Amino acid sequence: MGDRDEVQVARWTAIRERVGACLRELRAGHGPAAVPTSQARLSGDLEDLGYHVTQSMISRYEQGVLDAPLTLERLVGWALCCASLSAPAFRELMELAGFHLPWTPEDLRHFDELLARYRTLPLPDQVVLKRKLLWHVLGLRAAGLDAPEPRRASLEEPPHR
Amino acid sequence: MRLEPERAAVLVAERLRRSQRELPSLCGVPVPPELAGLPGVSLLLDRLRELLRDGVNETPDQPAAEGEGLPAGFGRDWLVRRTLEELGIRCEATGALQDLKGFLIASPHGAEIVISDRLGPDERLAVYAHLLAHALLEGTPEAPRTFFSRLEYVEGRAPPPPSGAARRAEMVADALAQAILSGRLDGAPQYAYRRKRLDRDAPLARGLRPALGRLVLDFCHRASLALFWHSPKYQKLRLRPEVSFLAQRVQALVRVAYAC
Repeated sequence: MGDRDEVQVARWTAIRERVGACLRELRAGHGPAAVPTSQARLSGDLEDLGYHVTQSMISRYEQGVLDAPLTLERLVGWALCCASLSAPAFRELMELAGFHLPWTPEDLRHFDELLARYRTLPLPDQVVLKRKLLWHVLGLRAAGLDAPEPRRASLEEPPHR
Repeated sequence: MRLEPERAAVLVAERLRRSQRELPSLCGVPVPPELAGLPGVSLLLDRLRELLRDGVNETPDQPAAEGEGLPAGFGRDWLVRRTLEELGIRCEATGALQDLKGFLIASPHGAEIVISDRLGPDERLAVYAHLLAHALLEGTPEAPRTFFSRLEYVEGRAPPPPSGAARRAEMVADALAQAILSGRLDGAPQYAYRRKRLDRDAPLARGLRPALGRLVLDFCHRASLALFWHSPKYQKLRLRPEVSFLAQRVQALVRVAYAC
C-alpha cells in the first residue's frame, strides 16, 4: 500500500458514491427557485476561490470514481459556489466528512440568500466575499490571519514603521 | 472574537474626538518642558506636526505595504483602523474590489472589514463609520444576529433599496456614521447605539419614584429614537452640540428629581 493510509482509503471507498450523489444534488440547486450550476461555471468559481478542480474532476467526483477525497474546504467551497449551503445534501455531506457545522438551518438559509445577493456583484468582488465567507461557514479563523495581538492604542504612540 | 458594535462605535468616536482635540493642538503648542529633554521627543513631534500640517497618510518613501494597505502615516483613518483591530476586528485592504468600497462580515467566529485600497483617507473613514453604524442598527438586544454582513457600494453602483424600510435604515445609518465621525455619539439618541436599555442598567434604585423616573426616561429615549428614525430634520438637529447638551441636562434633571 506504500504510503497510503489504508483506513482513509477504505473510508473514502465506502462513502465516495454517496458523496458524489450529494455533490450532484448541490450543483442541481436547492429549493423552489433552484438554479442549477453548470460544471464549467462551478469549475471556474472554485478556481477563483483558489481550488483547482477541473470540469472533468467535477464530473468524476459526482460519479464517485475519483480515488482522492475532496478536502473539507473544497466541499464547502463547492456548496458555496452553488449557493446550496442550506440544502439537506450539504448537511449530509458534512456528516459524511465528520465535520460539525456550527450553524442552524436558518443561518445556512441566510448564507444562501447572501450568496444570491452577491451574484449581482462583479466577479472580483464576489471572489473576495466568498473567500471570506468560506472561513465563516467553516467556523474557523482564516489561517495566518488571526486577529492581531490586542494592542493598547494610544494617540501618543507613533505608528510602527 | 464576536463583533461588539456598541463598544467599537463608542471607542472609535471617543478616539476621533480626542484626535480632533489633541493632535491638532500639537501643531502650534510648544513642547512641554518635562518632555523637551527626552531623547527623540522633539524629532517625533516635528514629524507629527509635519504629518498633521500636510494631512499625509502615506509618506512617499514608505508607501502602504502591498496587500495590507497599512498606512505609513497616522491619520484619523489609521486611528480608526487600529482601534477596530484592537477590538479584534480584522481590517484589510484589497485592490480586488470593483463595485464595493468595502464590506463587513461578522459571525461568532470573528469579524472582519475589507476595504478597497483605492479609497482615500476620508473615504476609508466614512466606510468604517458607515459599516459600524449598520452593525449598530442590526439586531436587537433581545435577538442579536449570529451572522451579519454589510456591503458598502461605490456611488452609483448600489442596487436600489428593496424597500422603504431599507431606505430609512440607510438614512439613519448615515446620521449615526456622522455622529461617529464627529466624535460625538451623543449626537444620536442613546437607544440608537446603546443596546443595553435603561431598565437593565445596574444597580437599579428601588421604589416607586425611581421606577417612575426610569419610565419617563425610557419614554423620552424611545420618542427620540422614533423621531430619529423618521425625521431627517430631527437627525440634523440632534447632531448639534447644544441639543446633545440639552438632552444630557434633561436626563440628569430627571435622574435627580426621581432619584433613579
